Amino acid sequence: MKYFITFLLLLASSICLYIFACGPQYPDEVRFSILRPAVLQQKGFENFHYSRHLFQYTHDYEENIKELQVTPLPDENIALWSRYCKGQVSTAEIEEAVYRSDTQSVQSASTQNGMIQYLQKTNNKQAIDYILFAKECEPFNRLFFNPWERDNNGADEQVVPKRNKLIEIALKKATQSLNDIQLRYAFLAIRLAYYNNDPALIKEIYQQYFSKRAQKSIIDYWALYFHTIIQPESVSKNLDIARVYANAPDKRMAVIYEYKKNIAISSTLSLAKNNNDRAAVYLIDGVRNPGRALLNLKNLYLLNAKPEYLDFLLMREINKLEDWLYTPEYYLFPPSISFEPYYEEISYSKIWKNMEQDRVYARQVLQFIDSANAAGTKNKVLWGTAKAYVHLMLKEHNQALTATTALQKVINKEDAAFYQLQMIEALALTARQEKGKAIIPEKIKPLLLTSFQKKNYPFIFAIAKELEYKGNTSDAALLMTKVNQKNEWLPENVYWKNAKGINNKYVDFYWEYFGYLDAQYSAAQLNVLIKNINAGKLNKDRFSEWKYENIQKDMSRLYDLLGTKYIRENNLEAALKAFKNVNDTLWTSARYSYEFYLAANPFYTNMYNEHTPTHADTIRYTKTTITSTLIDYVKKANDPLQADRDYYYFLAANCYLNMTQYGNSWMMRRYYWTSSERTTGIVDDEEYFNCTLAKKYYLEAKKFTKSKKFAALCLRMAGRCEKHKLNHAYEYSFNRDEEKIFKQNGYYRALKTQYPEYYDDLISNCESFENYFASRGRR
Amino acid sequence: MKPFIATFIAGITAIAFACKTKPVIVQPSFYFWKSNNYGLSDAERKYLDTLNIQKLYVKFFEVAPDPVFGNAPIAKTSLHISKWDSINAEIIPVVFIKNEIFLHVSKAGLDSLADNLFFLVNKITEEKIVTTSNEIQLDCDWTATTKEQYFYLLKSLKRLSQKTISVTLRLYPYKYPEKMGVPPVDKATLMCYNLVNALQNEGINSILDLDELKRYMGQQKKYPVRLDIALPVYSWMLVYQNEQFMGPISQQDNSLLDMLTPLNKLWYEVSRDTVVDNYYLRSGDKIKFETITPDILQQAAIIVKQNTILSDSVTVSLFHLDEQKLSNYSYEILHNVFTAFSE
Repeated sequence: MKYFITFLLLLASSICLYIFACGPQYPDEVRFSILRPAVLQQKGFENFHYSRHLFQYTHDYEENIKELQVTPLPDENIALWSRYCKGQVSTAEIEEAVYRSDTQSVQSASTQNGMIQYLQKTNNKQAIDYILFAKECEPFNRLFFNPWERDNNGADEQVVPKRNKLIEIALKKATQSLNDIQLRYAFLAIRLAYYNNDPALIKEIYQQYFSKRAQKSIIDYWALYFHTIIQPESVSKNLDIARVYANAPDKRMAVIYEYKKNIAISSTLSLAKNNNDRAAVYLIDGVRNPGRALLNLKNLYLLNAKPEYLDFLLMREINKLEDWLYTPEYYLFPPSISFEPYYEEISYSKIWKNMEQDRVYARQVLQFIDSANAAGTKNKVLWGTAKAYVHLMLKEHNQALTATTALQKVINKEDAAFYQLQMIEALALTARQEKGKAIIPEKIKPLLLTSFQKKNYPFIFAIAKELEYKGNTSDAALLMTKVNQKNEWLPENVYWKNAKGINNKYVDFYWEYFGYLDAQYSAAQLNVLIKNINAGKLNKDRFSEWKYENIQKDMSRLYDLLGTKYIRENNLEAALKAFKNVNDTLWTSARYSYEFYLAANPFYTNMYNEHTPTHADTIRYTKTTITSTLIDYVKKANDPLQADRDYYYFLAANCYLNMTQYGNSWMMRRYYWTSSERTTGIVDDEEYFNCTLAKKYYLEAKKFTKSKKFAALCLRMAGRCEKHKLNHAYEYSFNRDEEKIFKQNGYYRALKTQYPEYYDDLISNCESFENYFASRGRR
Repeated sequence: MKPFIATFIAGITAIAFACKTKPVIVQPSFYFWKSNNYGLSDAERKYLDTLNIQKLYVKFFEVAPDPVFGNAPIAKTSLHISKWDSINAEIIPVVFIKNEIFLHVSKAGLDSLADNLFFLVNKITEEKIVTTSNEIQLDCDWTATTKEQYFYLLKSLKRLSQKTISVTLRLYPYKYPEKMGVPPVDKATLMCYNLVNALQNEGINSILDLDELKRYMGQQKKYPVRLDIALPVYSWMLVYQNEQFMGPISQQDNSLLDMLTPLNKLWYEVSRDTVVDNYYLRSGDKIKFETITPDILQQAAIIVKQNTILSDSVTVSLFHLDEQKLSNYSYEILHNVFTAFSE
């Protein structure tokens, strides 16, 4: 076999085993979630559902914030205009007039807009004048930079006087108007004053028109927003921010981070004037809390707060529990919102311990759900789904099923919420089975097919993991072949780690089944899977066809993997049997470029040319023929009647050396190669990096040879193996000392002691190998 | 006496014709009108080299009315030219000014505009264009109502910059200087295209119609300001759906022609549904395809040459430098347009 390291590295990186065009990136949010808040239609809070992006800056933060903000919010401004027009004008016409019409069409006597027509018909010149004036103010409601790019800006010199003029008009009009229109003029003045950077004027206007009003409309909260954000951080500001957040949906994104968590909630609550204020504080505090917020929920309940507040925070709490429990359980990732430094090693023992505590907390949440909804007056779908899901999290599968069954009777089957319940039911049905006897329940098969169509890979993967935990590793693997159908970084894809901590090529997670099988499954489990697939070919039902569809195209790969696993166990006969089932086209396919890799001679090596072509690369092997030849050589070497035992031991040793990290046939044990000698965690890491078997056979060869020079060569090669072992041990050591490593090599010391006349030649002369090998006598 | 006078007149006429055929030094030039291009393409550079282009009039920005500032620059150029680009042509900044900004502006406002304009031209030159020019050109379709304000701006800019100030000159003000005024500038580029309203003259090529051109040119006369010439080398397609004008297609390629069935002069019908630019063209939609063929271009050059009095040295510009548009002309054709003015 021959290959070149550089090309090897390049080619290895292009192998489609572990994909991504630019190399895998560590995913920002690997969070298990099947419960969709949007399904429960909580208007106004869509931007604040539980997500890593609310709590931490992520590399795709800007993209995700844009996504978060596209949801249209309830428009309180339009609602207020609608009431002003006594319900006589449609919201569409109001939106057209207020947001889109130009001044010309508003002034036109022949306007087509229903709102303007209504105002004209009712002789409401005041409102029309207001709309015209508001449109005149619009261009000034922003900060300006000098369009001529002059360093001294100069924008303010031109803009501020114009704003001042508009403020003057607005305030004058406010004194001449009443009710809504008056407040609107006052608000326009406040906003213009904000952009004029005039906090004193903002306070003055606010004091005059808004501070004493008991009944508040959306205009009050807009004014409060500007009045508040100019204040320095304080307890009272926190309270005002909470008020704005609770009552002005269109200002929620603007104020969410203005609420300061470093101010104790008790301090903020102490300034609250009524239950609405208290509810507002518990609400925003709950949104800003990435941890346990049951206390907020309980207090909102006691305050008899608006149902949407309680529903919204409950939904978030369930999504948190889902993340804390299922992200580690299924993906073996820590919960997505983690405040540990990213470079810290993940401590799974810590995570499992946290999960125990989280289940205790889940129990408390369940108790709250039961007590708060004892009368059954809450949002049936949300509270019922939450109850079922928490039972599932507590592994109370029967109770979960009881809850889902009851709720399914009252939800329309076409409803998205029905699908959510079906997923919870499916997980419960799967997880409640006895270990060792778990199968894919018949009832959930149609759901799996539907979920596949929806690209709901997290759900399919969760079922796979439940089966894996129950010992049905075959169905688990088969379901894993159905996730992540595209080799792209897509939001619907799932990413997971390996329980044994086995690393992938560059990263420590998986996104396709084959790499995972390589890391996680034993040869025995793989055997069972292959048998399952072969038997499954006979099933012609739709579900079976779907289940086996992907993997049936990969049978050769599976047999190759099986053979490789047996090689790792040094079970050569079993490996050969597996390799014989590989279709020869795999060896020449683009999949692994074996045609290239299998072009060097595994039975030849010398001291220096482990990764470069040699003169012995005149024969081409497949994995099958390497294995069969190796079996043959070992058999001959072990045969006491064999005259050339030393020779065959030597060839076998060469092969074993070439099957390590340092040889030309590493692909007998691995599916990728990197120059980094990072242990992978695979079962034969020790052999792969320490060349134990090669060393053993070189020493056997030495034992049986009659040629002194050949014996010296054997010892030299054993020393070579020892050198790799020592280098690997010191790979990441700061105290690495090449001279020290050399001196530590007992086989080199033995070489010097036992064969002093050959020592320098073998240690220093690159050409010596052929000579010493030939000294044994030609075969 | 009469024979003497007749002889005198004949002699003067001969001299006049002799002057008309005196060789002129032509400085070939292009306009570059694209705002969003970071650099010139290889093909566009090749035009500059092959045709020995000496000047490149680059639109630096436009000035439009602004509700906050009164007027403000828009469509600022993205073009960058560095010393490594090996462009030998002189880069001359052009500022396009929308006529509306002159409707309600005071002299102080015009002085401020001149100052801002000059500042921004210099800033763009410094930051994006490696060479400096001693000329600034303004492009504005002024009207009789706004000529005073526009001319004031030109004088203000001249005073401030001390540079050669040129303007674009449409054929209408060229023909009627007594009505439209003569801009107080060092020179003017006579824009021999866009002679009629594209939407109101269905049967006429609004980019350049030779008959219209001849009507504007009229008898040869000397314009009070030194003239340069600009001719068009572009085409466009105007989309009509349900008899309504929808807009021009900016990026066209010749493959679109395969989907058009000729109706009559300049007009085509879309034969099958297709998407071009942001238009979903449906079968039956109409397209007015106005193009300047090499023949029209050459004839236009001759007409202009014969009917204008030019100085010894004239800049002849082609509007505009765009490889896709220019692919309709060979280098020879373009070269001949320039040389038509030097014979």
